Amino acid sequence: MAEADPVLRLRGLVRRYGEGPRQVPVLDGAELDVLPGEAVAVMGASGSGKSTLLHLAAGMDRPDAGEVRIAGVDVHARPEPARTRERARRVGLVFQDYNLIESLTARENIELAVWLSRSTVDPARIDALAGELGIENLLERRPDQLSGGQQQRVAIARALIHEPSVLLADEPTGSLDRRAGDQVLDVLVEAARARGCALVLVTHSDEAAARCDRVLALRDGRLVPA
Amino acid sequence: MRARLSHGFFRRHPGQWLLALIGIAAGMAVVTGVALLRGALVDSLDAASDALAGQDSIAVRAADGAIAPERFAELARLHGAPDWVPVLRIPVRVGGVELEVVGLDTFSAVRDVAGNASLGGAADALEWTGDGPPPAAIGPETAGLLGVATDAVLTLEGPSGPVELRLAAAAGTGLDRRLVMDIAVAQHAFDLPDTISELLAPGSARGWIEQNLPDGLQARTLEEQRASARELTAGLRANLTAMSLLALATGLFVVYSVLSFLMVQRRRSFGVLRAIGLTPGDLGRMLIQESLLLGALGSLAGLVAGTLLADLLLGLIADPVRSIYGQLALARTEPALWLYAALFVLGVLAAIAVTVPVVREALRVPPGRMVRAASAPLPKRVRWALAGVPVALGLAWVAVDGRLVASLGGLFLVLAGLATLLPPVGFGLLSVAGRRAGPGLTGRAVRLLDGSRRRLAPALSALSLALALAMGMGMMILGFRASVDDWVQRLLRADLYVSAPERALAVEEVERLAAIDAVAAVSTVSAQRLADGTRLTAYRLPARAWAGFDWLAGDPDEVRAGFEQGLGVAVSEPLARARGLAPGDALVLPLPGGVRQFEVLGVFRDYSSDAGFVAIDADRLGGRLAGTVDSVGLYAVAGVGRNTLQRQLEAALAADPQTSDLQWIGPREIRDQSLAVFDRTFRISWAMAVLVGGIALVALVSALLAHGFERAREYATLRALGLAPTQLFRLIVVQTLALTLAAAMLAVPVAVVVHYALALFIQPRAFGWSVPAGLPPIEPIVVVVPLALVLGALAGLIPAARIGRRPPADGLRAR
Repeated sequence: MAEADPVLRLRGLVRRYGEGPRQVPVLDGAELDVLPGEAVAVMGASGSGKSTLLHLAAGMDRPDAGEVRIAGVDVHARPEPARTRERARRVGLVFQDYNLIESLTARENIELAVWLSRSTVDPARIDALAGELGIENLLERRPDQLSGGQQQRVAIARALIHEPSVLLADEPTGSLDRRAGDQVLDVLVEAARARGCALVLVTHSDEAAARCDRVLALRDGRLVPA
Repeated sequence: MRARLSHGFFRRHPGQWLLALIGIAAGMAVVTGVALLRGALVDSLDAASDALAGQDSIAVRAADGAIAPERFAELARLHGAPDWVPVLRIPVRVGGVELEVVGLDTFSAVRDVAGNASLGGAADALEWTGDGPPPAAIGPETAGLLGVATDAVLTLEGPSGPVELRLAAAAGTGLDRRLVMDIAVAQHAFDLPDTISELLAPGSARGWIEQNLPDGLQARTLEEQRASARELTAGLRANLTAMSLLALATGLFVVYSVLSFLMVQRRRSFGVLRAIGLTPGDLGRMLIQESLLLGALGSLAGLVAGTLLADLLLGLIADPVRSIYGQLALARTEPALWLYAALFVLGVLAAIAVTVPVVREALRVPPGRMVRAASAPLPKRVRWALAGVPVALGLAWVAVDGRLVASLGGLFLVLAGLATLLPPVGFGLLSVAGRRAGPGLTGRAVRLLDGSRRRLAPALSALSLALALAMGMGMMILGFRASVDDWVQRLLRADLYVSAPERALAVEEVERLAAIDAVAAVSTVSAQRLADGTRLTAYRLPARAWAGFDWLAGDPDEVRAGFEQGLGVAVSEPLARARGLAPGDALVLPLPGGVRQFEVLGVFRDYSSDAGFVAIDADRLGGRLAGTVDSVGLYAVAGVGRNTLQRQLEAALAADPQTSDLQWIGPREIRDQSLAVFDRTFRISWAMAVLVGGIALVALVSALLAHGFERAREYATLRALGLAPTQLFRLIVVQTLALTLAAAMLAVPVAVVVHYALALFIQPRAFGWSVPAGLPPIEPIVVVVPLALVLGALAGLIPAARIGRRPPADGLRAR
């Protein structure tokens, strides 16, 4: 069987912080290939550059060297606003602190992703996705009326509604208790696989990593098998 | 979706939206009020002429007062003479309101000269049979101002005492502050037989008038009068405009301060939106649309408030406009649609302009960094450049360009540059204070402010600048008042001043006054306006009087010697500035006896008007000025007190019935009256200073409230950790007091800069008056700083009360 092309490809990524002699390399030639439907866990000590890796992969930050391709497209070769539009279409983001827009309801937060990706989605699909994630009765509530686990599910729905190629999750269970965290991880990995979405999961948790197809560690600015 | 994002946020934070609206509305209200006021100052003069005699009529007036009846008769008999309409103008007061009675031949004005129907139908009602009070017509604006209706009887205070009039008819619009009567009835009622103030003629008679008008009479069209009014009031209007623009700038700082806070509050949302796909363009469009809406609503509110403010300000300037310029202010401002439209656009553009730096900050940082941390502060060299460049440009502009606009523009640039330095200096002061205050709650409260440096910086700048402007204006006014006081006291060397209210004194009367035993010497003053509009004052001065002049150019002894020998003239400072005159220059004057050239001997300080005048030795002058005198100064014999002099004067005047109308006044009373005029004149400046101060308070309240809202989670954390509600209350109040005190301390040196800019550059260039450079008065500091502290503390009570009442859990959930 022919192997599919990676939907996410990172090559020789370098990112430094600081200036002059105090400059510190956070990423120093990181490389990664992720296939469609594959789930990859990235682990590492605090400050090892895990979040930086995700931000570069999403096109939210510029590398000092290296390349990021999503579905074959060089993300950083594109200027703004094309880069942002590409991210809106092809990438789904899940954050540790959920980062829902507080002035919008859960449904509106999900619709936001549709609007930003400049696609159209049948409202029934939102209801179906909400049902899949167990939040179908919470869609008219605002974030401050939801528990942490519920907010994170809404965030996952927002990340998946527009059928992205890549799903990037930055410690999605970091603010949740164990039980809520387990539930969120289950729906996250399941939903990503069901859609053939490449999932990169940054996590401290071995249990979370165990749900993924591969586990990598970020050491000295590079990704190595854990 | 964009609208939903904006609407959702502002629905949850209505207070901050309201503060931004108030900021722009307050600034726009002041700009609108002053813009309407400026127009009213120019329109005041010719409102009556325009209404009574039409746009193209010509007004003929005597250079030195009323037109003698024989002169009128002579003019009327000349071959080809137009149909003259004699007009009598009488200044009157009703309950403290300045008005004017206009007496004219109503039938003539209506039929032959009138361009509109101002008096149509009212002419018959103004005939008087002699029964009851004489009738007058009143315009609707004036009736509204006085709160009277037709058929009411009005008691007016005229030149010779109280007079009753019956309001027999309603005149048309345009007769603000004026009552119209038949001229003969007015002459009788006010005991001014045969008195004529001016003659009106149709515009078609212009050619005849230019050829036949005798010396001593001047003819001006309505447009020339309007130009004269514009010129007369140019300085006052420029000052008002400058203050209104300063108020707008302060209001915009409030808007910027609030928008910056909103940006900080929404930074996380912006970061998320940018992360999940909102392009920079979309974000910018969203913010610009919000500021468009803010600018539109704020400007509309400002236009409404400003229209109401204009009528209030008009009431403040009515007296000084009458006293100084001899004009009557309108009863109400008359807004034009085009002016409203222009001001609306100004407000919207200003709101967008203020949003631009906020939007740029929102767009500058990549989404990843925005989600994680705040953007990096400006490098020091950039900050110094942002401060130094506008300050240098402003100072250079003032130095190079001598126009008023350069002074105002230069001051704006200097203040803009200083505004960028205020926050680092202010927070430096707070750091020192926080360390010195020790480990207790007060010290902690102050040190916590350092963590909000970037967020509080715009508010600190806004508040400091507004306080500085209010204090600086106050310093300028008080310093100028002290200068005027010194000038008046120095100038008035005589022990008593004698004059007749409605006429000039003859030489024989002056000789009789000089013959009084207690009188050692007399000075005489005669004033008239020349054909080219120059004010000329002829003096006879004893030796003691010369010390009263404060010479700004020319050697005092040489000036006096040259003056008394008739070698030249002296010029007051405003006139010298207006015409660029200095000692040695030649000055051509169209005197009644013919055009003559004089050398300018010296320039002296004069605050009596912003037009200035020429001083000449009366003995070198022929004609009326040589023969009559407007005022006599009596210098007492050494050792004789004022009371003795006054008794002898009263006895001398009582002995001669022909001098029974002479009045006298002492220098102290003249000084008091002069300062009263000054105070009335600058009431509007105080009003503007109070308005700017009020906007400063809005800036303070907005900053402190927003700071309080921003820190809600932090305060909730402190409460959760064990801080008692009373301690939290104290912490917030200490923080607001510390911020206010820092702003006030920063404001003081900036206020001194504003004071010197106003006193040394703007006043001279606007009015022609220079003020001796000296230490600024401290009264404004003593008043404004404590008031700001009290109000700052009060402003802190609102967030303190709200946050203190809130359960800690709710605050911890807030984002």
